[in-house]
Amino acid sequence: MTNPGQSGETVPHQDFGVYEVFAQTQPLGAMEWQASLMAGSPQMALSLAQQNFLRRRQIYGLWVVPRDAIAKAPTDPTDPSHAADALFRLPKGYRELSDYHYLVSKWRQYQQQAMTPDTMA
Amino acid sequence: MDVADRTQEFLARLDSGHKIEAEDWMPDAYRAELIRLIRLHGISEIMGTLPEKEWVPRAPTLYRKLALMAKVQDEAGHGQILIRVAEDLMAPLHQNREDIMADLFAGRQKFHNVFHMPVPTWADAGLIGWLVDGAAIITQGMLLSGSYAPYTRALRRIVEEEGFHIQHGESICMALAEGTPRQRAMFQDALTRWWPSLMMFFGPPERSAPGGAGAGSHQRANLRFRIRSKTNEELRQRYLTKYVPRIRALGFSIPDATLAQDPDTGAWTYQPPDWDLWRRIIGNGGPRSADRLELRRMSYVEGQWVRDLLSSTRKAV
Repeated sequence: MTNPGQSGETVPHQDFGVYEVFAQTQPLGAMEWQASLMAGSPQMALSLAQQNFLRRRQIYGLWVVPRDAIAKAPTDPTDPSHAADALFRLPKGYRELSDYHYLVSKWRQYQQQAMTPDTMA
Repeated sequence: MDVADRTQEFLARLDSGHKIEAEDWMPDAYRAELIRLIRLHGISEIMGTLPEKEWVPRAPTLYRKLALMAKVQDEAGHGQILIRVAEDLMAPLHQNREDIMADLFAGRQKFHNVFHMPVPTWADAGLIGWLVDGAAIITQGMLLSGSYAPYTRALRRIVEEEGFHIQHGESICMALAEGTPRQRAMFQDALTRWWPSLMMFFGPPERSAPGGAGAGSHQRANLRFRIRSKTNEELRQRYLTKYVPRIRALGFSIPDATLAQDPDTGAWTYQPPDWDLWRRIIGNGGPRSADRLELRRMSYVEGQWVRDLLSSTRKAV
């Protein structure tokens, strides 16, 4: 057995891969990133994830994903294809509920009209 | 854009509150400061399990034993989380946790001064939980608003668990404070023993940092990079403000006759610890440095077969 660190500047690296850990902490919740860890197999990664990150809380689902399997959009805003670029610089209310809130007052208006004494007579 | 322009743009982004992710472009100096800080933090969590675990077999009750084991397990977990964050920063340098361990064993990787010290009584174990973890949470709470997102995400989880550690330590110290004269004397002795180490905890103020003129450059660089928002001395002052009244309220005396708070400014004056001694301690010249390093090395070497078994390319054993 070699003495780590005493022989030279470099040490052989263990053949572990990086796994990203996702867990569902509410029965109807989304899978949420928790942590990353190193493991030699998915089974080992699951076991480490439970022991290291989730032993204090009830969880409903657990994923470990090899980091290599994740394609990521760049987060650096100086990168021309960074993640925030997915927000198109166009009006986008057409797909938001807030653009349709006026319908509530419209309906209220129509209901009140319908219930005036004139129309009820 | 050349590196100088990119660095200016990067600093401006930090000033506007932008957070940096692991794969973003960053100046080499930013990466180097983060690696230095997070390696030190991570390996200190790992080495920090050793003084406390000495008291697991000797804890006075089953309740205390279970709580202490849970705490030791948390600290090892914090080490795992932090070293993973450091590894992502070290990846471009083709280094990982095994290099950190090798550096630790070769004396090239420092760990925190408090974990070089002996823990002779149960009161020392309680004091670590209350006053050492209390100091750690002051540092970590300040780092929570730092500019490097993966580190602050890791810290969020760590600080949550440290909350339990402090209460656990407080509970032990409270029991001793409300105990027999012998228990109170045991705590007073532990406090007297630990006070200089606690005053060293946050590191030297800039003026007496190693290197003389232009010293304290890591503190200054970390402030500029918005990795930290307060100096060592500001943290120490905050610590004194929080803990001196608590210690005195329990009727214990702090072994520093010069300790005083300015009623107008709130600033504390205190007997500065021996910073040369601090340098010797973190240079592995502390009373328990060699023993703890040897224990860590032994457990690393003896655990090699487990890592081999768990690695993806299994070797015949």
